[in-house]
Amino acid sequence: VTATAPPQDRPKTIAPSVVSRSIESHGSDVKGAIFQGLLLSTLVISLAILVVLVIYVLQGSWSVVTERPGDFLTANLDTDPAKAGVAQGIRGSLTIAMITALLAFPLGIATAVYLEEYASDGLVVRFITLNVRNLAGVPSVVFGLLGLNLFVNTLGDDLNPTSFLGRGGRALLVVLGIAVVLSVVAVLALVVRTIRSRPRPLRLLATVVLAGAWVWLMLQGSSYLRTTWREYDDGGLTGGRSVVSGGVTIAALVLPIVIITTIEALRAVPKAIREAGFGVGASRWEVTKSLVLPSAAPGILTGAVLSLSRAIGEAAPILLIGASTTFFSSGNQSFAEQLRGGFTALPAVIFGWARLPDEEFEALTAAAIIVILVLTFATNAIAIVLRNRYERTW
Amino acid sequence: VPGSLPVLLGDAVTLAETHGPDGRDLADALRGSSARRGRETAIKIGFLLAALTSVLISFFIIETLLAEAISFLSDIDLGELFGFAWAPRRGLFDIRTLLMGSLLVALIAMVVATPLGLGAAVYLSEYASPQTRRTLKPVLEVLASIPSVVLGFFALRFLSPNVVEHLADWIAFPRLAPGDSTAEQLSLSAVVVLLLVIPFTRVVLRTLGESGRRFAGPATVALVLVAAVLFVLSVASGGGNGSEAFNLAAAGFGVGVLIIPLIASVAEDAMRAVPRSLREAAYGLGARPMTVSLQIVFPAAISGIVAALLLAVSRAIGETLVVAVAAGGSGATLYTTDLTEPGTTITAAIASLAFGSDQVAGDDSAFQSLYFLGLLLFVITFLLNILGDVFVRRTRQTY
Repeated sequence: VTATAPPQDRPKTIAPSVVSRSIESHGSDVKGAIFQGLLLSTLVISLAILVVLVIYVLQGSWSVVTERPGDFLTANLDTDPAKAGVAQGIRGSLTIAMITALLAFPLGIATAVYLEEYASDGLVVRFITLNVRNLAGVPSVVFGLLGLNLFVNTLGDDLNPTSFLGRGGRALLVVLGIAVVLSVVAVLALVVRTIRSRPRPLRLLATVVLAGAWVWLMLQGSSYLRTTWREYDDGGLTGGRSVVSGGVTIAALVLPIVIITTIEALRAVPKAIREAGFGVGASRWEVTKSLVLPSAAPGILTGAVLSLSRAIGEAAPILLIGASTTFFSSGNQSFAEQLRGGFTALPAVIFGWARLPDEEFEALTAAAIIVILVLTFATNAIAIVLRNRYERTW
Repeated sequence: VPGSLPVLLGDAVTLAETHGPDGRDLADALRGSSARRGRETAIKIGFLLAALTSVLISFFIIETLLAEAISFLSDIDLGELFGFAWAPRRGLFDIRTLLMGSLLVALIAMVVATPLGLGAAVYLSEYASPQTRRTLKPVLEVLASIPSVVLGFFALRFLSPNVVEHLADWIAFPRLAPGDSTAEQLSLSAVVVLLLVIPFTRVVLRTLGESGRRFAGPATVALVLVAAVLFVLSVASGGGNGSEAFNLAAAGFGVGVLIIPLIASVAEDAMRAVPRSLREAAYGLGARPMTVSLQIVFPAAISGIVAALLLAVSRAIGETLVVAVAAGGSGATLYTTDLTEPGTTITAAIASLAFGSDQVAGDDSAFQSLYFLGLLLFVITFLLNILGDVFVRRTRQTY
């Protein structure tokens, strides 16, 4: 401290009083205060828009919410506003979210793991990364066109079963069937191993519940595969304008989001953690599986949940795929059979109702908006809680 | 990655192999069993295949759009692309109608969202305490999570009758064409002064050196006053004629609300990336927060801010549902530059072709025009995104 003591001779040209006045005049910065006020007001305006929107929608939906809250949630689409409800829309949206989770999460996480952990060739990584970044900026309606051409027409309605593509589709069904069986066997083996290791009751319960859900899902999947095999000549792989086409399209749409958020989560894991793993002789996969992915899990999960909220709210692609905006009936088909049939989803229902001039339908639209806002806000809240609770800084 | 442990391990294996039989045993031990290495390779290939899915998706998008668009363009007479209306079922394929619609909606959206988004970004990055940030930022995140169809409904049922109609009554919305009424001409001149004359004057004055620079401030104030007077005169001479229920302005406002969070978050990231030392240097020289924000942080983050605006324009042009619900474009829309009238955009034209009451099925050119529009949209947004990416990367390189 003594070595760097300031020189004692101050410049004489500035009077100390000038300096102290200019430092202490902090409170009289009128221009600055106005500027700060303006900045704050931009945030207040954004908040006000949000509040007005929510109040307006609540007010508009009041008659529906008070008069038939249960009925509205369980009724199907109808041209009669007194009978119409959003049950089919909710089911469609949840099915699309499920298909998205099933396809986009594993593919997205695997892509990110490849880019961050495995790839050594700079050129390949740069190409795939550039491609993902561009995909993330493609408007959703273009994904709708992709789905319309590829999943609805080429692999659905127009698929010639005897063509090369048609035979390939049959082969794909067989491969998927084998994968379903193998995954069930693997999950059951995991359950047996977990039970043998005598875990704590909570962990045991979680394992059993998750495994049960997976087995149920795979049963539905195999049922879908069987239906598709049977009706292959009529509707091909996807069944044309079906919820499967919509779900796969939405999965393609959110894939880049999952990849980008996963890459960010993986990058946040410090290199030292990986090197500790390599140092004790673990292989690349063992390091990824046991060290990197668990450390990055909160970030990955947050991104995944956010992409689900996007999947529920996205309307343009599923409308292009052919989500119904008016009355349709799915008869008494099972869940798996309905996957190949006509469908609708909440955003499509809202779109269909929003342009109708009827005042009663305006109230219905507002009520359907409440439902979709509850769903998206809930998923977002889960994501924010996950991030705030488990986010680690290294 | 040179120098990382797996590479070092590889070097050790090579080194051990050159040291006789004992060394070879060591090399085998280091390398691990062949079953284990086989599993590693299989897993790596699995991940590579997953990574190629996204490339496949891009390929299918481009293949779909190109094939169908080319078949559309070869079906029609290219002169049909420049007519007076967009009515594909009657063989009228005027793309100026759609481009003008997209431009107007994006313009309105940017006019609404730029000040709100950038203001929020500056406040969150420069003024808010960590505590305030934690409470205010979720507001933007919630705003970002609202599905666009909901904003479409809000724009049509709330903004259109309650905001746009009154606004259009009060002031004449300027058009990109010589106005019919005095009020419209006056408001157009005001906008020209604000958007063209002021930036031009400032640039010219700055090139004149120190003496010119001194006049830049007063000249700007004077010109803003001129624009204000023109607006007042426009309002005084009758104002506008209100708006129709479906109109482009309401759609533009809706899209604007949608892109506020996008601008705010990208711009805020850019400003937070500006090193503290720059701010501290300025504060050390006695600068006030406003000076630091506007003259230090803002210019330093300008690449990121430009990127935010470019990405927002791209998003505004690509937005479908707000426009499809609120702008009122149907299967047949006349060319218009009037914000108070119904209009259509590239995206809304795709929407009305593919779903709703105007759905056209079958293989005729009306249906294929869908893919041509998709290609047009893809190219425009692609170029904007690339440009935005270039600016984003420039921020990262500077610091």
